[in-house]
Amino acid sequence: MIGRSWPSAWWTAGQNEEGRRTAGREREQMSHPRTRFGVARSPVAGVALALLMAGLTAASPAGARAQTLSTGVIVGAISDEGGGPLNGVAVTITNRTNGQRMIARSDRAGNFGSDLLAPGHYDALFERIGYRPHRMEDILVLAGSSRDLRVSLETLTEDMRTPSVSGAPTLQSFANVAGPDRWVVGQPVAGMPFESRGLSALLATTSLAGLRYDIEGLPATHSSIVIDGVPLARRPRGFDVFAIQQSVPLFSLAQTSFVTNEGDVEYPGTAASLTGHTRRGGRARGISGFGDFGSDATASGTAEPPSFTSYRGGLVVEGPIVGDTASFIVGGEVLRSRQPFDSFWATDPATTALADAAASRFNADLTGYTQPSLETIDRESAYGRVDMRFSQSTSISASGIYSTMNQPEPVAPWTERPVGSTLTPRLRTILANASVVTRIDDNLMSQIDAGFESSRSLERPRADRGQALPLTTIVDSGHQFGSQRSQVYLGELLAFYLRGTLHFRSGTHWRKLGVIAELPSYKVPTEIGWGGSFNFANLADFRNGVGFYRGIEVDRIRADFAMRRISAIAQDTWRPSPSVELTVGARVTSFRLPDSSEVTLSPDWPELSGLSNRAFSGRQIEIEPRFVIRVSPGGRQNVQIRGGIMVDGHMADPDLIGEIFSRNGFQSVRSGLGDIGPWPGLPTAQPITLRERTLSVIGPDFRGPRNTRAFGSLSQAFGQAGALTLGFTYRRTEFLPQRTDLNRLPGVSGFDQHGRPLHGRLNKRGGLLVAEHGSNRRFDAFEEVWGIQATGESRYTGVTFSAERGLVGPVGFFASYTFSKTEDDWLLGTNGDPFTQLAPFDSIGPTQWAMGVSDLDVPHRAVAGVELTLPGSFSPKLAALFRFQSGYPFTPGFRPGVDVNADGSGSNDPAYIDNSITGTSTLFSAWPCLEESIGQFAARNSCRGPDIRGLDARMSVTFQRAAQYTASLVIDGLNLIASDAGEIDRALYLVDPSAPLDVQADGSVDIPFVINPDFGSLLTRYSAQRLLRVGVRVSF
Amino acid sequence: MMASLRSHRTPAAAALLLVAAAGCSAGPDRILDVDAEGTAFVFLFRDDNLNMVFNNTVDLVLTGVQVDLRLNNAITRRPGGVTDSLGLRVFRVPAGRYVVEVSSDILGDSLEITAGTNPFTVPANDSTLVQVALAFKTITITEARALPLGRAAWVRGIVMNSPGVFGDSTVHIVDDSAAIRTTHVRPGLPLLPGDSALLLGRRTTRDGQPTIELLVVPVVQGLVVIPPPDSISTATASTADGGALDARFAKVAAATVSDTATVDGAFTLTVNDGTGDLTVVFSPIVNFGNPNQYAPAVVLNIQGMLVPNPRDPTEFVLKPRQRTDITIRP
Repeated sequence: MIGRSWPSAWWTAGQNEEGRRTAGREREQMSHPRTRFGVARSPVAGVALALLMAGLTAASPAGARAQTLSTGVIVGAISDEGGGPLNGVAVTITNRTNGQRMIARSDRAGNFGSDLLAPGHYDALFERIGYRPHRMEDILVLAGSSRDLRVSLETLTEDMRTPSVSGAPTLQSFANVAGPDRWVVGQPVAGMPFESRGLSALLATTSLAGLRYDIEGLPATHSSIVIDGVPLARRPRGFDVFAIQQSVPLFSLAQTSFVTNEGDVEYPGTAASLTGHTRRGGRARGISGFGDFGSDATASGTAEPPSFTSYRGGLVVEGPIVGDTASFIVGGEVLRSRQPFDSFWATDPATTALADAAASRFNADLTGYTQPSLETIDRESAYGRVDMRFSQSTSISASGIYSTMNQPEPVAPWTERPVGSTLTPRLRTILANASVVTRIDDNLMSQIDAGFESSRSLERPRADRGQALPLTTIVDSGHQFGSQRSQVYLGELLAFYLRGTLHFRSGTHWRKLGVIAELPSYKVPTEIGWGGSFNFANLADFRNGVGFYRGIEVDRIRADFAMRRISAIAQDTWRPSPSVELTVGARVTSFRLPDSSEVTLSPDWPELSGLSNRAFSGRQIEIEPRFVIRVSPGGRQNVQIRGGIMVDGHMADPDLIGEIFSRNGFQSVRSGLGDIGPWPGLPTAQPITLRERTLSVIGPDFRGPRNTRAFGSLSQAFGQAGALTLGFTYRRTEFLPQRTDLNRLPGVSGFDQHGRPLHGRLNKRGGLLVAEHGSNRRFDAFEEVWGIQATGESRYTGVTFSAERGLVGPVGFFASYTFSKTEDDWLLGTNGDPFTQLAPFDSIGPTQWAMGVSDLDVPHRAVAGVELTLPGSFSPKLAALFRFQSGYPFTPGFRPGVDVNADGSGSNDPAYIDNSITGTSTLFSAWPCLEESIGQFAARNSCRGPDIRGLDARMSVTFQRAAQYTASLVIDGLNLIASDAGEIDRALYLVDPSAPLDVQADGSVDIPFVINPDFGSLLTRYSAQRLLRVGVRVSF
Repeated sequence: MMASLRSHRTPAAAALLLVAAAGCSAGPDRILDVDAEGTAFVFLFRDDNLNMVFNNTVDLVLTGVQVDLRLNNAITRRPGGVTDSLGLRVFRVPAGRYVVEVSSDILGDSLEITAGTNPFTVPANDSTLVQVALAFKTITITEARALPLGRAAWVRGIVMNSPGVFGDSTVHIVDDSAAIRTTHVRPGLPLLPGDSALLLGRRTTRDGQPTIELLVVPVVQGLVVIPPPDSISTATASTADGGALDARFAKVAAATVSDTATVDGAFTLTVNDGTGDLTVVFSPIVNFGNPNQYAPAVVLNIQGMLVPNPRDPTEFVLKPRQRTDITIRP
């Protein structure tokens, strides 16, 4: 009964025709498999998801009706006992939320349909004189998908005259797993243990997504968020993807789903979508609320966490506006969530000495790294929605979400800010959508959707900003902390979305025409490098202020620009027979970047290089076709095969566009090796030089990525609520942005002892190795000149097997396993540092080194969830969610700050596996990946970090239930099994601090390497502590 | 049904074709790189006035000389070639920073590059003229004396006498290490005692001693104080200390005139400070006053340049440059 105590249950109560929830009502629900199936009841995401999982299923009988991105369809066929089509059957479809009813009638072929249904849960009643009425309950309709119902009506004999409602037909649960390749979550996501994660909580429940929110080998920035059918604009920073997902509160959503392989032309063409639909107001007026509370009482980890309290509370008001034709709902929520983390750095003498030195000598506080900390999420949010039916043919919906929250801290190391960073501001998000649906007749209808989005990073309090430290690396101990960013990050996004579609039927065809316009505008500060970075060979040098510094001068420039995507869409869904459906469609899309004339022309660079920093067309026409087929072989409705192929274009990364605005050649680089003065002050004295400028240039044909996707799946339903699915996906993504340093010396200065080409002269200090200033530059008036070109490619192949069983009895479960392989030549880098995105070799070195195992290649991923409903007066429930995935790959190389090839990047070089270096072979047993590369440079991502596991569990009992309120005790066990994650020490070799470089007259260099015995260990951990959270939740 | 299916094959096939077409290759080469080229005109000349700028009246255009371009800081070289009849070699190269490398064949042991060795930028779609000045090496007088016969070099030294003073086209130059005679110096050349000058000459020999045969107009770099003479005995002077003091500025003191004579039109004295005889040769061009004042038994202090006696190169004579080089002692 935990689910009953979560807010979702309260919303249900408010919209329930019977008014407040009662135990009797609950018992009634329990008596119906679909209700017990628990879409709206399961407290644990996994279970809830599992029961509705259609990920990679071909279960969707995508109907030949007018479905859109924001609405769904119920279609079906009715037969008599002999299998013959039954015409004239009245089908009453009722929205369980607001009671709206639609009546359809089957045609001579027995087919019926109802279009443009708001996503939600429906009941359907089939009636015809002479036949026994048939009722189907809790049919989940998803936006952009179609539900296919197969019903056989029994002839009414005399002894059957007593009205009754049948159970679900054979395919009931299966058919309810609607939608192509999607995970579906109903309301109960609001009751998940990790509910503070907002919409992103979905990703923890699918084997298609990884720990870093990567999906099918692409980063989170390539997925989209769709709220009420309106895709949100692409975020200017990868990290903002996490923030926006978390800033959409689950309490406002009636339904969420995770969608891949969607063939409909209206979908935004991303790798995957997290979709959510706001709750609608019910027909009964009501006020409901919820509150819960948790504390640190039972948190445990390697060290005592700081004390904390977490709480959440909310209030919702809903009801009719005009009879049963208009309703409203408004709600608000306050969330304060704390998750303890173990200290990021292991406690050892080196760490202690560093923290002491920072504190005593520079008054800098590194306790954020050396002591356990709390992930902090503070969010205030509100939402509202109005639904109005103006006439039998026209209805309007309008919704809005407002939230303000801090970007969670500490942040994961794979985001753009290092752990412990205190630079993150608050994020304010406003989302507003409106939809007008007009049904002219059964064969013609239209829909207009409009969306507005305003997201803004709010300035951090000045007092907090003072704590920001520059990115600092101590090479010999591997410590890295601080950030290259400047201390204030103020980004802003304003986006409009407009979609108009016309649906019309012709025989067995449903056709769709439409226009989609996406108009985002950005204000993006490009600030990487503005905070500067320090590299010290060792702690003594850190104390003495002797090391290497690089930073960008001149105040930040905030890029202010707009982009545009306008598509014309056409689609034909043809259903030649009930068991076959073909969808053919295409988008013709015009992409437009900002006009090149808006970019300030760089001084000198065009004359020197022949490359202008504003010579890009910014316009591109893309044809995005798709073809999807669904077949039920032999007419068997419990087996479905679905497959398709499609092409989708994406908008360009707004961060990169912002970069060309703000790195326009007027910024200078301050750098130098030697006595750079007391850290963390800005070095000014010699050996610091300040003369070269920096610039970013995109290619004339620069464009956003393009996906070509082929997929197929085979699904079989079993029992009343079970399904097995085997599916595959092949994706090829082209035009991914790759970064080169256009001002790097286009030749070699020499070679090291392993034949590695050097791009400049090396300077060594202890274990620190940097390029001699200017020695690796093509034009001496410039430092790095980033060339950004759409030349990258990614290929993903994945096979997923999933099994699910709904909570028909006391046990429900789901399990999903994905085996995949991702290859690309797209160096994602870390922490948003452009230097980490540089390929270490080019045509003069080992060619095609970059094309290899993707940074996001995860061969094995699995999730499993189970829920047990135990007998007893307190309705106890137990639920658990287990996750597993292979570790992320990494390339054996060197510590940050060691620039072996003198290309200016101290973080991108692979190691040469040299068995003659003492200690190398001793690592082979633990790291067989090294042995495979003996005598050559390590292949990209040839090694892999340890597997990652996680287990969350929940137990709940409802100890007080009354007419006006419910009280529950909830115990969440978070991270009961948890793997250490974090940044791996990928340094196979260190530079011997005591030995000199041996530089020959011909430029060849012998670099003194020594083995790093800590290779593969975690330099920075990111380990959430085990947490037993006890909460009392009172709902009224 | 079949008819219906057939009638819809076309759009389905078209869609598949569209997918295939849209999903195929990325099309044109999208690699962003600095591949624009520029032109470098490399002009070689021998800088015979050491001003590092070509002067067609003085300097010499170098033709047929192998020239290469090397990417600055890199070991990568561009394919090179020889200069044409105008001393030019044209390179069409990717924009970037380059340095000129001149074949060591022409440099040999005598020439060095004095200008055009710094990295220069070849901008995209534009041209750059690089003047590479080669010049004979600048050496000390000691090095000049040791040069192989016939080899040329710039010799830096202080001019000790004006051209024409001795009537034999010689100018003596000295530095801290040694002295040498420069020959073939036209009397009209603007050289004055005390000039710090660079003299380009070819190593020759006169009267058994190394000399420099002046090839071009010397470069005067400034006026300095003439170094004091070496005070030596008449006996030492008469052998120039075995030749070691050849062409040096020397002074004998308290030397008594023992004899006078006129040889080949030049008035000569034989003086002795008690260590041995030394011949002093007065240039007929310079007015040293009434010869009678240098009669035997007169005691003199004399300074001048030591040179071998053309009649007997083993003997050195002292050649005063002017009247003030001679002091009659009371």
